[in-house]
Amino acid sequence: MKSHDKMHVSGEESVSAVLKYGDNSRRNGMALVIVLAFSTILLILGVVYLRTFSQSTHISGLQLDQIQAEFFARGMQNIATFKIKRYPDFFLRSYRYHVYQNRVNTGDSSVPPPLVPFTNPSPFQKFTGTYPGRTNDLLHHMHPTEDSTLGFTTPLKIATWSTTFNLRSAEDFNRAFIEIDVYVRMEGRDLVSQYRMSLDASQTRKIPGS
Amino acid sequence: MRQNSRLRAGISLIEIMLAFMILVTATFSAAGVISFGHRGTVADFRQVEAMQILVDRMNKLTNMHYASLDSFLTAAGGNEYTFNNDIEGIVLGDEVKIDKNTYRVHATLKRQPITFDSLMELDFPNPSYMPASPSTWLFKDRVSAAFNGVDNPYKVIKITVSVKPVGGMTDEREFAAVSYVADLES
Repeated sequence: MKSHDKMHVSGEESVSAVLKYGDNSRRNGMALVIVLAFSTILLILGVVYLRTFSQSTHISGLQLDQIQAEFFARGMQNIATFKIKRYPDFFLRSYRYHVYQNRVNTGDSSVPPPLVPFTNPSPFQKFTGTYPGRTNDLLHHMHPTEDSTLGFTTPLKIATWSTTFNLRSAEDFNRAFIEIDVYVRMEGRDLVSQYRMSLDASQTRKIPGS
Repeated sequence: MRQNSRLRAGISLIEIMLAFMILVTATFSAAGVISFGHRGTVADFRQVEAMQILVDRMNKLTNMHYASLDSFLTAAGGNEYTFNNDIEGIVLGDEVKIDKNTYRVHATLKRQPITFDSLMELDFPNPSYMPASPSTWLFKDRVSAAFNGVDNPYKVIKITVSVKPVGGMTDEREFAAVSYVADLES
């Protein structure tokens, strides 16, 4: 008996046919159910695959930002080193005066008072380039208009950057380690990356007539 | 009874056709997703390789002395020039081949004008001056210094390297980095 003929039977034959072939009505829709289940699995796999792919793209964007920030910071350190080499006396003396000023301001009685009252901004603040009233400097964040005129950071998208100087002295500042820190934050990121350069510097004095 | 049987037989056919259509649609969609993902993976690989090229070229150029970089610009005849041919053994070009992939690698050098404002110096004559005692020091302002090729010679060169994968299945983005080399020799 073919399967489509089994509906023609009736009575006892019908019962025996059901017992023999099973209840076909239970099988109705099974193909759909299987296909839908299969499609759902495919859909889930596809979504997971796309999510993984989009995350890897995001990671490569972060890597690029890090590379750009690092090279930019290295460049700023070069410019900062150039400034120190160009004006070594200004850097060294303003830093020493800055240390002296801090000692006076903290009430250190072992240091004599200054010849004239301390100025604001201090010489060291002037060396670093930024102080209250002047927030725009090459070694710090530049105004976007000036930046685009000079084409300084183009084509990078840098939100902020700044440079700090430190001098770790030895032998009464005759020998020192200059630390130049550059802080960079790329546009659209919260993270501020810090890049440090250390220079070993020594000072020699030429005695006139020698 | 016969009508009911025919109806059920029809339902089976529709069901199978519907299931087949859904299956075909789902299979084609999955194939599309896999293909898209494959293209993305290939593009990702090329992007990573492009970043490695970028780092390599930037390292090579930033390690060169200011005088060498300046001589390239002098030879090119301008304050800014984009190099798309090899310089000093650094491979650049419109079609730089790395294994099976091709990249456009350009390097732009630019004499960057810079200005140092708010400079100071020690104020003399100062009878109380003692070199070792900061309390005796007096500072005064001095004029700002512009290294712009007019007031003073240029002292900083801006380096921009851009790398873009080319010839791929998708239009991929360009990677660029910027750094500066200052004249620390003179």
